[in-house]
Amino acid sequence: MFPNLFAIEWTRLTRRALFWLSLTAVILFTGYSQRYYYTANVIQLFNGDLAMPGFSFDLATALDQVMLIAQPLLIVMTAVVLGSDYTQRTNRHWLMRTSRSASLLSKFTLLALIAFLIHILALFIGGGIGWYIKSQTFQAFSLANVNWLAALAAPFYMTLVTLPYLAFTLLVTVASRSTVAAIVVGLGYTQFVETMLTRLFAGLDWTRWLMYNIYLSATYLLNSIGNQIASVPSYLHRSVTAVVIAAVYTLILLALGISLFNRQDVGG
Amino acid sequence: MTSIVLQTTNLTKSFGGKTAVDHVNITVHEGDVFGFLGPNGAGKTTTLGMALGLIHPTAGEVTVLGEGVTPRRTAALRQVGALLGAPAFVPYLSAWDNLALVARLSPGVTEQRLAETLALVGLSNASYKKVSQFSTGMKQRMGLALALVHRPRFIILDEPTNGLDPAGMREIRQLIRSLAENGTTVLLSSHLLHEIQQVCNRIAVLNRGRIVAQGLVADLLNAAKPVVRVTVADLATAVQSLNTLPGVESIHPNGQSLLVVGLESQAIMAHLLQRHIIPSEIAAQPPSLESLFMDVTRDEG
Repeated sequence: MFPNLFAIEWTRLTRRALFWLSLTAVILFTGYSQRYYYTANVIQLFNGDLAMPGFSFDLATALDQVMLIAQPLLIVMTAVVLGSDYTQRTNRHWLMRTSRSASLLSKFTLLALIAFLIHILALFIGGGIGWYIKSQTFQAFSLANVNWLAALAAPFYMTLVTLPYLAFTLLVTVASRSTVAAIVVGLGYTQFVETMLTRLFAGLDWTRWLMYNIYLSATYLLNSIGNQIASVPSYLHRSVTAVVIAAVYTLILLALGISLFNRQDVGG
Repeated sequence: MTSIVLQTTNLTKSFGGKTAVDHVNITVHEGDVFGFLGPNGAGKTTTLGMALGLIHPTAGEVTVLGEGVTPRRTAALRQVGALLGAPAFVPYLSAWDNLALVARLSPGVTEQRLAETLALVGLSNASYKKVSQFSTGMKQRMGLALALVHRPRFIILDEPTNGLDPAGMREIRQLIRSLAENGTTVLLSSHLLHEIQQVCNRIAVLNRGRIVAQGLVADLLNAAKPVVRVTVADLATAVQSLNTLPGVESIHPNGQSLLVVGLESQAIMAHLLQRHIIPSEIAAQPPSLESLFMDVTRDEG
């Protein structure tokens, strides 16, 4: 039954303009950011005043840039996927034929897959734009110094640190039964509360446990695509620890969401 | 002896301190077209929500096709179709896509069945139109199609004729009859008493969360108290007088007439004539669900 539930959610999401607009935004934003670096520094790169960055730079920069929009887009998508079942009252169709936990998990699995797709897409767009500009404009494309294993692992890692935000938005949507409330709370929390707390209490040990700082740790792993060992600042957890914490946050928030959903009345 | 399709035992639901459904016991037998009646806010949709595993009962039990049903135990509901309240669908998908989506959770539903179902509810010509562009009546038909697509053994319809014109209502009545003839058990919740009387063989009446009448329609009508329509020039005086007559249970103004419940026409006529009140017309009313409904829901308002 789970594959059928997943297929239902996939159809519902991919037939929405929101899904395709989000992917377009990822493509445009990543592509533009990548192109901007080369066009802004074209003279210095031609003169040799600036070293021509390698392909690893293109891959890492693309993933670094997409973080700016991936997180808010995924929060909106999570709120819409979960919230529309309440507003359209379609929950009843699934819940009469399957378990509530399976219904919620199918949605979460879909959103995790979309998070992965967004990061893979950014990787391809960044790599593609970098390859094109360097080949066509500078005739200087090189695959040297790319740590392919790290490049392939990076989208998984970035997806993992995104999952606590998806689980958090899922919990808020279930609790509020409202798409709009979930978007407001989800974006408000990530864009204002966490950022503000991090800045107000910068340097204090407990801030490293904030989801924001777990998420931020992903940027330090990206250096390894270029075979550079990045030293993670002392106010952040090490990358491996951050992934474990992200997984624990996800499981706790997801369990709370499922527990709440299982106790809800959804008729009427 | 037919088997029981739906049974609720002391089903109760409280919201905060308010009891919306109070120890409701209903039994729907296989082959029944069961009418579930009640004024707005009586608790019909909440009861049906519990029967469909969507609402957690505060107390009591629901059994569907011999299996217990709770929000955590819904296996029996795979053989049930339901249209509960306003129809639920994905508005940006077509009728066909909506049906295909719901059918994914019911094994064995073929494309031919999707087409048959749309034809059954009269939406064949709108198969590929987005449901958001449907009229209210078409949306109601879409809700019916979603409830019927997997050929359920038992179907629960909550106000299925809402938004339909008289011709549409007649078609739905015919559809319900044909479903019953083909062996589908139907529970029809409605406040349209005439509609219920035309298609149902058994009813339950819910008022303020409690069952106040239940049984075969024929038996309930036979046992119904007599209703007499009295037309007089001075209604106020007639009401005052009839209120003193032992046996009169209730008096309902009905245009220029009064509907008097509880006594036969001869007794009423004799009483009025004794008091020099001359009715221009007095007639016994045939027993109807409407009078029964008014009678059993009257005490509690």
